[in-house]
Amino acid sequence: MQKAKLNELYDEWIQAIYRYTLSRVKHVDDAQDITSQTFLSAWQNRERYQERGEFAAWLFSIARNKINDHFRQAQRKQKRIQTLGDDEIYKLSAEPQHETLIALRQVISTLSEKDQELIRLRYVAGLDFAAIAKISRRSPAACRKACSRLVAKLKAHFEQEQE
Amino acid sequence: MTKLNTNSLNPFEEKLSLALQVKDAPEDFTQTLKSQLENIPESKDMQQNLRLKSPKMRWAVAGISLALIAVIVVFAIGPKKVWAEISSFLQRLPGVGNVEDLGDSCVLAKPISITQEGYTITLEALSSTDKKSWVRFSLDGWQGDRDFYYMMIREFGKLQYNIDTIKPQSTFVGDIYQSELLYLEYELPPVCHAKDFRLAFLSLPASKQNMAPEVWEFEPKLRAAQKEDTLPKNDQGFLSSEEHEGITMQILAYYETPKFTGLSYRFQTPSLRNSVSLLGGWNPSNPMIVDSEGNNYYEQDRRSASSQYGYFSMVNKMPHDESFHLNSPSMMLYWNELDFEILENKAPITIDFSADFEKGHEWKLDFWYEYDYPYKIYFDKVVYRESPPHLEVHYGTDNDINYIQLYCFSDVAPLCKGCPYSSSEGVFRIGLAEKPSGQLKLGLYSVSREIEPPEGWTIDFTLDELPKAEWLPLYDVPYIVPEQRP
Repeated sequence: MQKAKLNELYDEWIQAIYRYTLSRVKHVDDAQDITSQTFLSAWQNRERYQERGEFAAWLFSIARNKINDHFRQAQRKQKRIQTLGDDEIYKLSAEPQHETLIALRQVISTLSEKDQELIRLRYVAGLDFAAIAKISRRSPAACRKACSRLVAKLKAHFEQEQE
Repeated sequence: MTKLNTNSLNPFEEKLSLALQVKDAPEDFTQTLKSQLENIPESKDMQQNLRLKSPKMRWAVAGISLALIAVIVVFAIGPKKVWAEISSFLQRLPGVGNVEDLGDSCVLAKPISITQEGYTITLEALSSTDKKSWVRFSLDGWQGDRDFYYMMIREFGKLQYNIDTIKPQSTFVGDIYQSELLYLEYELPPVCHAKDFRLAFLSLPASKQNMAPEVWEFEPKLRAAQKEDTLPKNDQGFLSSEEHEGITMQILAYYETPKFTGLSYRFQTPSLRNSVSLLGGWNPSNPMIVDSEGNNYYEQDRRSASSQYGYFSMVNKMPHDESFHLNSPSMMLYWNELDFEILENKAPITIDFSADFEKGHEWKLDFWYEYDYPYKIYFDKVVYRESPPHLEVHYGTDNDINYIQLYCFSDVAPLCKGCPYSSSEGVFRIGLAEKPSGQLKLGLYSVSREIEPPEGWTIDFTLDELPKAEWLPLYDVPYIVPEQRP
């Protein structure tokens, strides 16, 4: 793959990979480390990749594996994973929306890990259902349906909490 | 289009996006990383065993079928010819692989069964082109010691193409057997235009003692190959599980006989110095294949093609309209340094016995030794003990190592009694012939780790998502260089 093309892909996906990673590991240094590893791994193996249209899925799969390794290593060493406070991870919003968004994040955190992952891929990484389908090895229709049901469930739960 | 169209979000989704909006990566970080990536050289030729580009994970278009890979492995076709074949229209016949012109090919018109000696041999399938032929037999009903008999057949059951010649002209390709059936596959010269074509087993062992063995002679009728005889095109890549500890499980292909389905799978390891073996027995089996209702498709036979390269399972016939779950919960990962020159040159521990020392003397090591990242061993110290003379090597690890083996190199031979040494308790004991002198090196020979990720290695699949293999899985499944760790 040509260098110009690689640079183009890098510019296109660096922030999405970083944001996705940060939303999972909740630590800036770890997120930077894992993001670096992801791109280094992808670049070193670029010869194995052919289809540009699925590059995102490939990249996110590498990122997910690196993140899983990160959690596994910490677990093996019985290390407590340090995380940062919300203010250091999330973008600040103007009041009164700020409180609302914190409440919504808390509702999201009650979801199963699988559901949270779907939400992250969709609304943090900003992937369409075709890419999410490739990553999660399901059909795009199944991902769309699952996401739609999840959002409806979140909305109902959140509105109930707000009353 | 891979990115979410933010204009399509409803108000609640917009709120979701806002709530989850994390901070961007700092500019200095992204620019530094970009510079680092720009300095990465072109990756080296990755065509190790295979000499062409590696097949990819399932969701990427492979463009290379298993058949081609198998052809390359068996016939060592160079990369240019491989790519030429990929670009041409490909038709695959069972057993012979790619055929450019079906008009030059023929297949068995009808299976032939012969029952004698108390069991039945069936000529089940035959394909032939102008270059070569392939034939598959099944053997059913043998009542005696099957394992012994099947071994005898493999050793002595030479298939004659032309029974008037003395030397057999067939090449044994592979076999697989379950509790009742043995399958045998052979390669032959081209036979479509052969006159008086017969196949015969001349030297199968007799089923009864002191009896001359029967001759098993088949007169196959052949017909021209039709499109219906060809196998579906395979442009999928392998199906892969998620990676755990550098290991990925992959389903490579499936193979069908009238009664059974064979599944060829393997575990891709971090490097060629690794091999794996599955833990657990047959019930519950590892791995396990279940359908959507939880029915277990028990393995009838599992062959380790090579623990480094793959496994093959023969299971009860798997329907095409069913989805399956393949799960391997745990395995043992082995790492071996088999090149003794490297083993000695890279030996992490060198002890110089030139100065005086007494029993209990310690040589402090205090270093981590990395072998195939991210695996490390901590070497703490070496202690000399007496009665009888021996060395203790104290070590630690940062992961769950089951046992380690060291290999002893000494310029005073023989100094070490018995090599290699193994230990699983944090201390090696190396027996010595006498109080040591000169220099001693200890090379890291082998490490094994039991790995059991929370959900194991899993793949959900249907048969139609897999490449269909033309013949029994080869014992030489190509090794794919894994993504390199930074």
